[in-house]
Amino acid sequence: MDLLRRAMHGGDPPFTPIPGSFPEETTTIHDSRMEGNVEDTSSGHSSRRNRWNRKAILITLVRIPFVLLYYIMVWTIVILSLLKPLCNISGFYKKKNSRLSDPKSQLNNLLETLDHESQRTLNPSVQDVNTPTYTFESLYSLEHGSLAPDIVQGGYADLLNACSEQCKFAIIYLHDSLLDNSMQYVNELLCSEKFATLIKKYQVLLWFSEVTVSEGLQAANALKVRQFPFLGVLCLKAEKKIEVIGRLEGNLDKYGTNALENVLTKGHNKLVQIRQQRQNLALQRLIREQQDSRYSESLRRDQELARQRNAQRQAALEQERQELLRKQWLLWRKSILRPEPTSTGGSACRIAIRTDGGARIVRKFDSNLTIDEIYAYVELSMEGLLDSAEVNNSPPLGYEHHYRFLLLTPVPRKELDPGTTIGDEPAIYPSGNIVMEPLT
Amino acid sequence: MSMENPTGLYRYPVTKLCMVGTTMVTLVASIASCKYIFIAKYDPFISEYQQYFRLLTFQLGCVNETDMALLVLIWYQFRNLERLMGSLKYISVISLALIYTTVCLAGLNCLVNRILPWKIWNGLTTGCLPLVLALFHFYKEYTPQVYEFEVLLTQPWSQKSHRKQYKWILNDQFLVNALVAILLINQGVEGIICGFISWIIGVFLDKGLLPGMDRWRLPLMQHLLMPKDASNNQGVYENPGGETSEELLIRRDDREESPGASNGASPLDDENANDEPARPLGVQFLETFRT
Amino acid sequence: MEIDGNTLLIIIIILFLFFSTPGGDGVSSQYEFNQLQSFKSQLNTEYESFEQMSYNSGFRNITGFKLSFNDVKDDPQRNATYPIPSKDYDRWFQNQDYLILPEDVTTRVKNEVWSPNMNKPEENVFPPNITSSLLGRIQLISNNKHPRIPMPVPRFYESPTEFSDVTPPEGETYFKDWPAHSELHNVTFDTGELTIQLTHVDKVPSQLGSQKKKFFNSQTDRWKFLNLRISLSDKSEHERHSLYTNAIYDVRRGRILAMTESAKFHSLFAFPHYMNLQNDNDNDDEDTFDSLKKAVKEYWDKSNFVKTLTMGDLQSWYDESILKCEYMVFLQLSPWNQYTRDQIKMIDDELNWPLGRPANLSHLPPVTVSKGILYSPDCGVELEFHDAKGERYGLKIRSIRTHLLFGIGLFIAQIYLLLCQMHHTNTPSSVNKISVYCFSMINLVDGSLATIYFFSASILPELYLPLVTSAFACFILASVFETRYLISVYASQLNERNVGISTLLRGGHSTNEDTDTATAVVPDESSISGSLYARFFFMLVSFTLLSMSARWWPRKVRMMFEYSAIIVLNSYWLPQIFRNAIKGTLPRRNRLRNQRMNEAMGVRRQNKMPLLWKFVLGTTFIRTLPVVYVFTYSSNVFRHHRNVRFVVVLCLWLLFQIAVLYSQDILGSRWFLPKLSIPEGYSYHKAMPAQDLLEHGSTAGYTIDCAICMSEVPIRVEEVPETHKVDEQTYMVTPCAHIFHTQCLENWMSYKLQCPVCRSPLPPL
Repeated sequence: MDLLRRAMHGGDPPFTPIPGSFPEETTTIHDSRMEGNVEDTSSGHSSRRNRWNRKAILITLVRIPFVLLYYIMVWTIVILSLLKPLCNISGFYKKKNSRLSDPKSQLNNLLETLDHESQRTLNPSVQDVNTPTYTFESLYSLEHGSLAPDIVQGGYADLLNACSEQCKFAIIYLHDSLLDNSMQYVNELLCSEKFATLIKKYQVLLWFSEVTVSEGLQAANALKVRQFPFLGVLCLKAEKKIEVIGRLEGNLDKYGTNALENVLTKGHNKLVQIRQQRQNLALQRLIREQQDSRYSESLRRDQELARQRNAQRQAALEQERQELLRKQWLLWRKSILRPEPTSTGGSACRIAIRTDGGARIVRKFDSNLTIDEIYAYVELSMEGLLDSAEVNNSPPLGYEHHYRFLLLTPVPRKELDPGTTIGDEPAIYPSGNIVMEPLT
Repeated sequence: MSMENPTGLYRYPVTKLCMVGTTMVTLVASIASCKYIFIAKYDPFISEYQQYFRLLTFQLGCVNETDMALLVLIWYQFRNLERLMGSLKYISVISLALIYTTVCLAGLNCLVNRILPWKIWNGLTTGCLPLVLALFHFYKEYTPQVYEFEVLLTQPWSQKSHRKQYKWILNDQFLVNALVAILLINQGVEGIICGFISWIIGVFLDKGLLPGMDRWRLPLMQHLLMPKDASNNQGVYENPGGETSEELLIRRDDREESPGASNGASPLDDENANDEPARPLGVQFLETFRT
Repeated sequence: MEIDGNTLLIIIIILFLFFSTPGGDGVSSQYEFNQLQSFKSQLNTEYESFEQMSYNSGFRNITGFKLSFNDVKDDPQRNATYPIPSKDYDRWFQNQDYLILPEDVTTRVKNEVWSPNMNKPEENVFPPNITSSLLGRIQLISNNKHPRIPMPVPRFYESPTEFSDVTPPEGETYFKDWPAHSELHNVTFDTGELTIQLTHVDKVPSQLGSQKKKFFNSQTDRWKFLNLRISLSDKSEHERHSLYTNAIYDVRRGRILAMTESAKFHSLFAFPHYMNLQNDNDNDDEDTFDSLKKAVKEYWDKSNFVKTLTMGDLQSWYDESILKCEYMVFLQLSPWNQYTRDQIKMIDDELNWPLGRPANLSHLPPVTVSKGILYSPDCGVELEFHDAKGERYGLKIRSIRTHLLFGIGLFIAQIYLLLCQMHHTNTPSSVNKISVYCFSMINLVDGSLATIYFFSASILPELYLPLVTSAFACFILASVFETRYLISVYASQLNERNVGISTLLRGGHSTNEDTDTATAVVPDESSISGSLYARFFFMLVSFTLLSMSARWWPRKVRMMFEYSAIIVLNSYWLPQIFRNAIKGTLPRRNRLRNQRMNEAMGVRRQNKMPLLWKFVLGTTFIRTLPVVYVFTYSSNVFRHHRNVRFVVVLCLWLLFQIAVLYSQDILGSRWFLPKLSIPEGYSYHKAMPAQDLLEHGSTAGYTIDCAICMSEVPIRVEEVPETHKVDEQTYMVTPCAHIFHTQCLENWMSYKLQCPVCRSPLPPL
C-alpha cells in the first residue's frame, strides 16, 4: 500500500489522508510549491506534470469506451435513418389513424357505422324472435336518440371522471368490426327493450369505442379484455376507486339473458350505498358548516363582551392612576401655594368664592400672582387637602393637570383665565366675587 | 393503466397452438434429424430431384433455431390479432394465408426459375416467415398506435455550443417491427423477397383481392375451439347452474351468501366432502422437490 | 450434502491425481526412455529399407518378414536374422520362396478370393465408404497343417527385471512353445461366428498428444486405409479371438488386405508387396506397388508415425505380440453394380449430410464380403468365410434413430398413463392399496434404461440428440413421476411395516403390537423421499452394472440371465395381486351396489380398484412391445437372436397376471383364498359393554363426546336395552377403544391411519 501510494504521489513523503476530506490536492500542490521554493523548482514542476499526465491518461482511458459506445450508437441511428424511406411503409398504416383523432368525431363515426350495420344485418331476419324492439338510431343517435344524453362524448378518462363524479354506473361497449358476429351485441343487447329500460332505470352512462382506434385499444388493455366484443359495467367501488363489476366478453350465447340486469341490480345496492354515503357526507358537511357559523357568532359576541369589560377595567385603572397623580400633583401644588397675605396692603386682593355646593370661601390673594393660584386654592379646599399633612415636593412626571371647574365672575359673567395675573383682572381686584361652576 | 395486452395465453388457443406448434415441429424434426424437409431450394431439389413436396412443407418448421425463437415471440405479440378476430376467424385467416403464401411463393419461385435463364431466386425461406409476414399486415392495419417515445443521444464531453443531438422516434409497436425486421434479415435476400411477397399477399387478402377472408372458415374448428373454451369457463368461472360468469366474478369472494353458487358447485365439493383431500398433481410434484 | 474443508481437499487431490497422468509420450523412467528410443530406431531403419524396396525386390530386415515360408519349411530351426546368407534379396516372386504364405493359401487367395474375373476395375463398382459391421459364419480349414514361421520379439520390449535397470536387454525371444498363459492360439472350433467392424482411417494425430486431424490421402480413389476389428467365437462363446488390424482397401477392385500389427510383425511395410497378389499378370505389379507405396509413405509422414509413438503403443504392441497370433486377412467385397458412381456418391453424401436427396436409402444393399481368408503365418491357422453382411454404419444409425423416436413415443405414452393412474388414486387410502414392489419393478427398468441411454449418448456422438432426449424422457418418467408415486405409496403404508401377513389380512393389529408401534414417530414424506431416492439410485446403478457386464458373459449364462431377468421384471402385476388380496376389495357387483347405497346416503367411500384398467393394459403393452420386437424380428437393430417361444411364454405369463387382476376385480380380490384362511377383519361398528363405557367417562345418557367434532355420540350398550335403537353404523370404535362419529373418523382416516387421540395405528377400512 505504501509503495503504491508513493508511486501515486511521485515520491512525495506519504501522508495519511483523512477519509471523507478533500485535502489531498491542495496540500500536495502546496507541498510541491514549498518544495519548489525551498529546494529546486524544476523538480517540483516535473512531478506536477507527471501527476497531471497520469490524471489525463486516466480520464481518457475512462472516456474511450463511452465515446466508442456513443459512436456505435450514432452509426446505428444514422444507418437506421438512412433506411427511413422504408419506414414510410409504416406511414401506409398511419393514415387511417390520424384521420379521426378527435374522440367526438370518432364516436359519431362509430355510431353511424353501427347504425348502418345494424340496419343491414337485420333486414333479412325481420321475423326473428331476437329482433330488437328499437332501432339503433332511435336509441343512440346523438341528435335525437332517446338515450343520447347518457352517452359520454369524450375519452375514456372523461368517462371515468363522469362516472366518479356523478356516481353512476358506466357501461363500456367496445366494438370490434373484424369479428364474424360483430353486430351481435348491438342487435341482441344494445337495441333490446330490456337494455334500454335498464339504462333508463339505473341512469347508466354509456361509452362507445372501437378497438381499432387508439382510445378503444387503451381501454381494452386497461380492462384486460381477452375477447371481443366487450361490454363492461364500471361502478364506483369506493370514493375515487372504480372497478369493473361485470363483463361480457366474446360470444353472447354463453351468458344468460338477464346477466346484465343481475349485475346491475347487484351493483346498484353498492352504488346506492356509495351514493348514500356521499349524501351523508354532504349533509354532514352542511350541518357542520351551520354549526360552525353559529359557533363563530357566539364566539364573536363573547369576545366583544370581554373586550368591553376589559376596556372598562382599563379605564378604571387609568382613572385611578389619574386620581393618584392628581392627588400627588395637588399635594405638590399645595406645597407651592402662597400663604394668605396678612395685611390688606395694596397687593392683597380679597376674594369671595361661592362653591357650587353653596359654601362660601373668603380669602385674600396676592394680586401679583396668576389666577391659577385661585384655582389651585379652590381645588385644594374642595378636596379638603389644605389641612392634610401629606406633602409632595415634586410634581408627578408626565402629568398635566386640568381643573374640573371654571371660575366665573357673576356679573358680568366672565370666565377667569388662569394665566392672567390677579391684579390685571378688574372684576376681582381689589375684591370680587367668584362663582365656581363645575365642568361637565 | 397498463398499455399492454393482457399477458398469458388464457383464451388464446390459436396463439398457443401456433407457438407450441412452431416449437414442437422444429424440435421433433431436429431430434429425428429430418429438418431437411423444410428446405426448399429450387436448384437441386425441385429442378433435379423433382421433390415437389418441399414446396408444401417449407413453411411448417424452421431449420434455424434463431428463426424459431423469433417466430415464437412474434406469435406471442400477434395474440392481439386473435383477440381482435376471435379464435375461429383467426385460425381461418391463418390457414388461408398459409395456403395463399405457400401456393403463391411456390408458384412464383418455379415460374421465375423456369423463365429466367439465371438463378436469382433459388430458395424459399424455412419456417412460417411468409405466414407471419402476411399476418403482419393485419396486425399493422388493425392495431392503432398507442404511444410513442423518443430516444435522444448526445455526444458526451463536448462543448455545449455545438452539441449535436440525434433523435429517434419509436412507438409502442417497435418491438414487433424490430422482430419482423430481424426475422427478414436473418434469412438473407430470400427472406426479404419472400417476406415482401407474402406481405403483399396479406394486403390483397385484407382488401379482398384474394377471396376468402369473409367466407372461409375452417370446418370442425368451431367444435374444437369453442367447447374447450366453454368448459374452461365452467371450470374456472362458471358453474353449470346456468349462471353467468360475471355473477361468479362478483361472487367469488362471498360464496356462502348466495345459495345458487353452493348448489352449482355441489358435485365438485361433494366429491371431496366425505373423501380425502385430493391433492392435485402439481402439488404432488412440487412436494417431491420440497425438502 | 455438506462438504467441509478436508473433504474438499481430498476431492481436489483425487481429481489432481486423476487428471495428472504422465503427459506426452508416457515415459516415466530412463529405462522406458531407452526402450522407446530403441523402438523408434528399429522402426526408422525398417522404414529406410522400405523406402528402397521396389516391386521386384524382397523384404530385407522388416520384422516378421525376414523368413519366407520355404526358409522355414527347409529348416524349421532357422532363426529370423538379417541377412540370411543364402537368401536372394534382390528379386521377388509371388511364391513361397519369397512369401510367408504357403503355396496353397496363395493360390486360393488368387483364385477364390481375389478371383481374376473381378480384376477389371471398369466393370464393377464398389462403394468407397464401407464403414460397417459385418456378420457371418467362419469355418476352420486347417489348424496345424502348415509349419509355423518363427517370429521373434525383440527383448527391449520387456519390462525391467530390476529397479535399477537402465538399458533394455538386447536380442530376441522366440516363442517356440507358446506360453500357457496367453490367449488360445489354436482355433479349436470348426465353425463359428464372425464379426468384422470396418472403420475408415481418415484422421490421424499430427503431433504427439494433439487433436486428430483430417488425413490427406492423395489417391483416395484407389486406396483407402481401414481399421478392422475382427472377432471370432464359437457358437456358445466359450472361445473368443479378437484381432485388430490395419487394412488397405482397393476401391477400384473391392479388395481388402488386412494385417495385424505387433512387435513381431511390422505389417505396414508389407502392404505393397502382398497387395500385388491380386494382379494376375506382372505388368500391373509395378504400378500397384508404387502407388500403394506412395500411399503408405503419405500415411507415415502425415501421421508422424515414429514421433507420435508413446509408451502405451509400445506396451500394446508387446502385449499383442505375446498374446496373439498374427493374421493376414484377404477379403473380397461384392460389387454394387446396380448403382452408377454418381449414385453411390449421392448415397454417401446423403448419409453424411442428409438433405433428402433421392438416394433411396431404404433399399441400399448391405456391405457384403463375398469371400475371405484368414491365415496366420506364425500359428499356421487358416480360416475362411463366405458372405459376411452388414448394414452401412450411417444406415444403422438412421434405423436406431427411428427406433429411439418410437421409444420416446412409448415413454410419453407411459408418462400419460402414469399421470392418469396418479390422478385416479389421489388420496392416501386409495394409494394405500397400491403395491410398492409393483412400481419398484417398473421404476427399476425405467431407471436403468435412462442410465443406459445416458451412457450410450456419450458413446454414440451421432445419436447424441435423440439419445439424450430419450434419456431425459426416461429419467423424467422414472425419477420424477414414478418415484414420486412410490413415495406417496410408501408413505401411506408405513404403519403396516413389521406386521405379519395374517394381521394384514385381518386388516388390523392386535393390541399387543400397538404399544410398540404407537409411539414410533412416523417420518414425513421428505425423509421418506430421501431414503427412497437413495435406494432407487443404488438399485439402479447395481442393476445397470450387472446388465452391462452380462454382455461379456458366455452365451449360455447370458441367456439364462437375460430370460430370467425379463421374466422377473415382467411379473410386475404379481405384487399388486398379492396386495389386492391383502387389502381385500369386494367383488365389483357388491362395490357398485355399495356405491349406489352410499350415494343415496350421501356418503362416499373409496371402493374402486387401485389400478386403472387403462393403466394396466397400456403399461403391459408398452413394456412388452420392445421385448416382442427384439425377440421376433431377426433383423432388429440390437442383433438379438430370434426366439418366438420365449415371447409366447412371456405373453402368456403377462396375460395370466392380467387375468388374475381382472378376476379380482370381478370376483373380489380374495376369491382364491379359502374362506377359512381369512381371519375375521376388524369391525369398527360394534356395541360396547357398559363398564368400558364408564371408563371413557360417559354421561348418564350413554353418550360420549366425539373428540373430533366435540359433539355427543350416542352409543349402543350391550347391557342397556333402551340404547338398542341406536344404529351401530353411526359411530366407530377403534382398536384402542376410542369412539368417534363414523363420518368424523372416516374423514380423518383419509388423511392418516392413526388414532386421532392416542396415535396408535388404525386398520384401514
